[in-house]
Amino acid sequence: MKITDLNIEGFGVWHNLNLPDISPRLTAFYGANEAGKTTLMQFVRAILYGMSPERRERYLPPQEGGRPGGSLTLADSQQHFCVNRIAAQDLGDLGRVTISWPDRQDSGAPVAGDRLLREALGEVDESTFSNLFAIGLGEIQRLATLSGTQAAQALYRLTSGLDRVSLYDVIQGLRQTRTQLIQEIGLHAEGQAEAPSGQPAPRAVPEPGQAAFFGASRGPARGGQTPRDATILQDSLCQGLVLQRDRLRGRIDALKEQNRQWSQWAVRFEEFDRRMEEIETQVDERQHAARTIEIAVGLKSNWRRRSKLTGLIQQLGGGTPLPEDAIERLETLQEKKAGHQRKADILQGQRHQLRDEVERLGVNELMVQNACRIDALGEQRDWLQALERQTERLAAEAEETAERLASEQTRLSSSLGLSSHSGALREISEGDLKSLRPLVQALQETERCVDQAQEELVALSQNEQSLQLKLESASSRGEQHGLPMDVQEASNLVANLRKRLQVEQRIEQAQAHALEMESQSHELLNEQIMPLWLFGLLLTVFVLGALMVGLWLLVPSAPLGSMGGLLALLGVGGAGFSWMFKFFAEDAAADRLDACHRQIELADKQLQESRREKEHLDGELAMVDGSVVLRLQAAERHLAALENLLPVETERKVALHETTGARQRLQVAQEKQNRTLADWKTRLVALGLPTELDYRLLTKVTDRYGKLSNLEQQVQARLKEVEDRRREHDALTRRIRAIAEEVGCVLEEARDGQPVGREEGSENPDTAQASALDQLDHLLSERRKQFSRVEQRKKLREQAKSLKAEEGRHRRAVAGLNRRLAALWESAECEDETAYRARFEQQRKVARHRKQRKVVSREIAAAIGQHEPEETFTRLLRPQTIDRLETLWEEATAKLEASQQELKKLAGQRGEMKQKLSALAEDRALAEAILDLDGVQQQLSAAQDRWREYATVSRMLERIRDEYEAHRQPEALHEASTLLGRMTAGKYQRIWTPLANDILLVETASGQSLPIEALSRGTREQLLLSVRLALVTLMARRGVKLPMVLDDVLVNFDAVRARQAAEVLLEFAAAGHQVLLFTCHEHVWQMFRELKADCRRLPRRAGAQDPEENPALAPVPESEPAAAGATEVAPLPSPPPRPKKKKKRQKKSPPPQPPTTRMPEPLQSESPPLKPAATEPAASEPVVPEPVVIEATVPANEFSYDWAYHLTSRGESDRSAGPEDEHVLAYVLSGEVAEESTKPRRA
Amino acid sequence: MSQQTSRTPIRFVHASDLHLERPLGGVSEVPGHLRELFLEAPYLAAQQVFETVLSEGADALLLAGDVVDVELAGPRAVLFLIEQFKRLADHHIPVYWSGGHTDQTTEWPAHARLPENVTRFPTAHVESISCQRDQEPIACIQGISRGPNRPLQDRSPEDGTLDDSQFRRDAHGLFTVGVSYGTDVATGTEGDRVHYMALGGRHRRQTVDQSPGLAHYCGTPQGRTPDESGPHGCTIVRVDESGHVKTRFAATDAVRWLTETIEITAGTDAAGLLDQILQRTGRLSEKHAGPELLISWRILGQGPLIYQLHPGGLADRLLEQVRQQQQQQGMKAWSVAIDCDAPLEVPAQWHDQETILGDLLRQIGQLETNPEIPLKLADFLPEALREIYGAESEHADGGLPETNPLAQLVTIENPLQRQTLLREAAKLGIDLITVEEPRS
Repeated sequence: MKITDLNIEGFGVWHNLNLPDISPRLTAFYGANEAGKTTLMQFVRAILYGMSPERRERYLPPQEGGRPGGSLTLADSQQHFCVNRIAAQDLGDLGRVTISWPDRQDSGAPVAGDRLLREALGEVDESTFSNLFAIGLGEIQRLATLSGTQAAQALYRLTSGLDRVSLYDVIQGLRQTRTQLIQEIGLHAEGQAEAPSGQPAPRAVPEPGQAAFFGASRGPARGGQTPRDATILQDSLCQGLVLQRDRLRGRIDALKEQNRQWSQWAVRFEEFDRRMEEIETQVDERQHAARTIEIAVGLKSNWRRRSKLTGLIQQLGGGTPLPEDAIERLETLQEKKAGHQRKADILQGQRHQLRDEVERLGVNELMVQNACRIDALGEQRDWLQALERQTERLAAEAEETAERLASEQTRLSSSLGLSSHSGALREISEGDLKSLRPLVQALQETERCVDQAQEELVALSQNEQSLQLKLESASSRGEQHGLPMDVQEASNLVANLRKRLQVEQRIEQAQAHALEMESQSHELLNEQIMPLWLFGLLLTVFVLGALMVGLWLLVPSAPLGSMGGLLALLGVGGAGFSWMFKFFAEDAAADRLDACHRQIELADKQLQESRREKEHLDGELAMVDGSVVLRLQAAERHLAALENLLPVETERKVALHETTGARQRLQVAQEKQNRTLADWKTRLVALGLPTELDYRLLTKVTDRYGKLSNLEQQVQARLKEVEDRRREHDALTRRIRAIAEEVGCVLEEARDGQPVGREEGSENPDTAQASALDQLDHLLSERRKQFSRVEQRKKLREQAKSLKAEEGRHRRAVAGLNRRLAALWESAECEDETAYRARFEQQRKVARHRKQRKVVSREIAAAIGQHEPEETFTRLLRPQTIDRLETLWEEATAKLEASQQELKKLAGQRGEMKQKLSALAEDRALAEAILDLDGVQQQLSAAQDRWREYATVSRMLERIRDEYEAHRQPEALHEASTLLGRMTAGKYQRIWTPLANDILLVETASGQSLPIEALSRGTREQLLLSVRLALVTLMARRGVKLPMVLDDVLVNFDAVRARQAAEVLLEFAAAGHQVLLFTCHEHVWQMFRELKADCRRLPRRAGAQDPEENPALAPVPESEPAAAGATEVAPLPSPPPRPKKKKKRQKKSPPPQPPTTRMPEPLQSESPPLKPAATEPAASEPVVPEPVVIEATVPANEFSYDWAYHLTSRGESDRSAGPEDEHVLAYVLSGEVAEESTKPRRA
Repeated sequence: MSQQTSRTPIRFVHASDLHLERPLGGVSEVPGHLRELFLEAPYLAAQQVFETVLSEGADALLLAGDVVDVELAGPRAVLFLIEQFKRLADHHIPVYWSGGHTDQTTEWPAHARLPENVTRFPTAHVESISCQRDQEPIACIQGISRGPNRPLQDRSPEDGTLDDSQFRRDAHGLFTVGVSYGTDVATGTEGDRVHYMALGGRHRRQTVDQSPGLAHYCGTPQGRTPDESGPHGCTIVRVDESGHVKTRFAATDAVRWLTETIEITAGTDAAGLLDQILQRTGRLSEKHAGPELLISWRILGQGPLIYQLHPGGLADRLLEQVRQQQQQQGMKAWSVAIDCDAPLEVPAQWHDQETILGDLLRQIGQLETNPEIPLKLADFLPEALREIYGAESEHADGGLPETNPLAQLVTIENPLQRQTLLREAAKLGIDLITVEEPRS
């Protein structure tokens, strides 16, 4: 498949780029750095394999717009179609592919789908394409960073085709994991070997699957394990897991043993139970016996006491028994007798007291007889009291009226405004009042006029003052700014300031104009001097003209021939024009300069005139400093304020005039008022009234003078009534005193020491009158007392009579009780009460003893309880044994204690046993161990499965590696050897690889094998290029033909090698491989151009072309493809300038001689190209001992293979390695046997 | 069933394989929050069996072997059983216990006396006991215990064989129940001698004979490993008046293992599969309310996920995500594993690729189609081990001698194992190579 056309609609920096007719062989693209070469290469990949997310992120959306994507036109020997891929917005979209056929007329619409594209790619995935068919700067640089060994390994893997998935790393990882797993399993042998010997053996019958396996590892490890094995096995990552499993098994066995022990303990526990039951029975019996004795000991005192009480009862028994209440009945009779006797005595005493009380009551017999008279006087008592009250009331009224008369006179004087000492206040008549009334009215009128004039004067004065204040405030503001207070002056000031401002502006304009004119004059002055070039031109024209004329004149036979005259005329014209042009130009410049000077002078005059005017104005305005504009603004504001004050001044003047008029009117009114007052006082003097009398009060008091005479008459009438009432009161008092003396009931005490309070504060105390009323009350009260005493004497006499009868009844009851007591003594066979009481006391003692004996018996029964029958204690408490009870009790206690100690000991042992049994019963350790063991075994089983999987994958990958190394690598090495020899002009002729090493060696023409690290950087890159070209060749042989993209791969080649590499590439392309080569070095591009390759320059971005010729889109005709192997090396062009760094490397002294190895030459006698060097050591060249520098970092294989099946590949299923491929030592390739050496042999 | 006379309705509870000595297992790592349940689940399930007996008002409990291995279970199980038997004794419910491999009569500790209501059958002969209710016989219980422990398939003549030929229906027409740990008769004739044969020894519930008598394995009350998926419990046997036997399953498991299959399509990615698993988990949680669910996911179908899901790769990562999501969403379920045993189907063009991947796939195909090609895994043993065992003569196919126990590791036992190994190896190879591809 080859690319014929490339069209980018939008991708990265490219937009609408079209590269048509790309050569099917080699096309060299030149572009400077950042010209878009890598973008172009990525575009090719994107069209072929889709817009991956990484490409989208870097190249999409297009910087210059356009649809994201483009098309490639592909062609091979069978078909020719165009692949168009446009990316959608979706990040996961690889782009929609459409296929069209440009050659077909009836192709119709493009067909969606990438089937054709995939077929064309030959099932080569993108990673293979990127690794095989593209060599970029990145790879070159990566190769440079590798160490020698790493570079050798990388190139080795490249030759074997195993670099694409880093199969070596995968195999290494698999091997490491696998080794860890098997070590983990194998370590079991180690763990078992080191397990303590005391551990019980695992289960007799191991679990299926695990059992045989572990048993196997156990057997040999115990017997024949070497230290080396132990070293390997100890590195296991899962060592802990296996040890854990072993520990768990041991623990499970131990726990099982523990369970068996539990059964034994349980049997022992039952024995403990039985023994304890026996001991407990014994303890109970001994405890019972000891308790019996203990109770008997406790009963000793009560037992003896009961015996003693029994004896006493028997001793005191006998005689007539008395009833229980004998004493109570005796005492009841005695109490009744004493009660009756006491009541009789009390009644007698009460009767004597009543008799004495009657005698103490005093009764006045005279009072009883005159009772009617006293009652009659008592009826006069109210009248006597009324007389006393009337006398007091009338006296008080008289006194009050006199006081009112005095106060009325005083008040009238004060009302008239008279002093208190003018007591001669006489009555004013009505006529006097009438004569005074006109004067009063006149006074009131004048007073009103004066008040009115005063109010008017005050109002006008306030108005005038407010206006005056306004004017003063305005003037004070103006004075603060130094402005005139006159409106005219202020307006003049404003006008001057404005004028001053205009003058300043004129000065500035004149100065600016003068400056402008001055600069213009300078320019004009410069213009007067003609520029040198113009002068030279004019001079040249003039000289040429003169020459032409001179030539025409002096050399008539000039070569110009007949044109000489015309030329001479032209020369005259030119000379004249030059002179005229110079004259007019200088004249015009002089005129403009003069005009300019005149204007400058005019401007100076104007400036001076303005300055003078300014000085004049400054003198007028006393301008010292400050802004004229600000001052003008202040003056304008002040002028406006003054103009606003003009009507106020007018108002102030009017107000001042009115105030003066009002003051005059007030003065006239006051004079009139003074005159009227003088008339008023004259009239008062004439009427005899005080002059200070106020005319305003006179009218108000004239009606009060009539009341004073009426009050004087009322005082006299009240004093007369008081005298009449006092006479009636004295007559009644005399009658009362007479009766009191008659009955002997004069109230002397009242008269001496107890005066009546009411009379005490009076002005005229009347003791007789007061005593009369008290005497009357005393008589009446005495009369009521005598009547009550008579009634009480009658009641007392009746009461004494009833008391005497009661006393008689009690005396009879006492006699009856005496008779009953005598009968009681007789019935008890006693002589008197004392004997009776002694007999009763003896009977009580016997009863008390019986009660005590009962209590003691109850205590004894309680102490015995249900323990034993009382007979048992009767035996124990016999007199013979009662004193030995303590000894018996101590013996029984000792036996009991011994039994209890034994029981306690057994209980402790049983408790311990029970605790152990309980702990075992609750223990889940065994279940947990089984659970853990199951988990560990599951993990081990999983590890086993994993190891099988890893081993199987390893098996297959090792097989693939072997296949690649056996079948693909030798062919690739052969091709690469040829290409490298071409590129290095035969210096290096062979690439080969030693057995069991994944490195390459390069053999020089002299047969010396060099390792990769001995090669220079450029040679390494040539080696890399050779290998890549060889691999592409091999792929082509398998039917996969894809374009190859090379990006600046020749950058580190010297000129000769670069030329040779270019030729190799051209030959390679001529063999049918399309190569797209990008370079940023123009000499490389030129070199390909010289070799007639298709060379193009990449256009500038966004489609702009180079200013120079643009050969980019025009393919350079290429030379005919040279036949493979017949290419002649063209003469080397001169080497382009190379970087100094490169020169240094070129000049470098010969590299340090690397340790080299001379590998055995192939046997001349044997045709197969692959020689089993190891099997034919004698026939080879003297072999240098083992190449010490070629160290195998990765062994080729872990073991030798004996495949029973063969790896088949697409289209090569019949290819297989022969039995001779085993144990390959080296693939020895040479150019001579290249054609036969496609199959390697294993020695 | 020949006598269709009117009988008293009877009800038994049939249980076996309690295996109190065996906690749950079958997983590499037990999560911390489930460890307690893994340990306690056998006891919880057994207790649920006894609760079922009491709640159902059963006339008897039939234990058909493998109740407990006293040596492994320890005193806890002994005390637990005695306590539960006493509970039944308080309700006058007899227990008929036929010994299996693990619960030999002789293994029971002598000091741990069983309550009076427990009857253990002898190993020498079939013992017949009358089951009574209110002093009236209602059924005849016959049983025998298995002899010394030896797996059934490994029995030899000198072992205590199970002579179950003495099972006979009651001569008086009583309903006859046989209790035994498996039988020695031919498959399908286990129920020929009695009305109901209560069998033990199989962990999965199964009825092996229907006529003339019913022979039934009730299964274990609690599944132990992911292989024992689905509900487990005991069987309630009801005999009606006419002598018809009906069995009913009663779930007793505290932890339920489930194996769920999810079919995916070519367009399913990991996130989609995660969603499907979570949705299915939600439905399962609703369906199996009660026990804790331990779910193993089996992925079938087609698409790139089929060759990406393998242990140590995407399967483990996805499993971790599933567990996290289930825990975050508070589901009463835990995922045990995600297995993908679907046939490996990769894009057809991969086989044709001129790449290492293409070579790998072609090799896989060749090894699959030619089972006679040996894998020779012994070659990959470490050199030290190979040296240790290398002295012995090698096998004809180049591997280790068959007598060498290491062959257990490196020998492929059957074609299925080989097929599985190749499939998983192919997934691993694709994963390793595909991961490396962007670098190249």
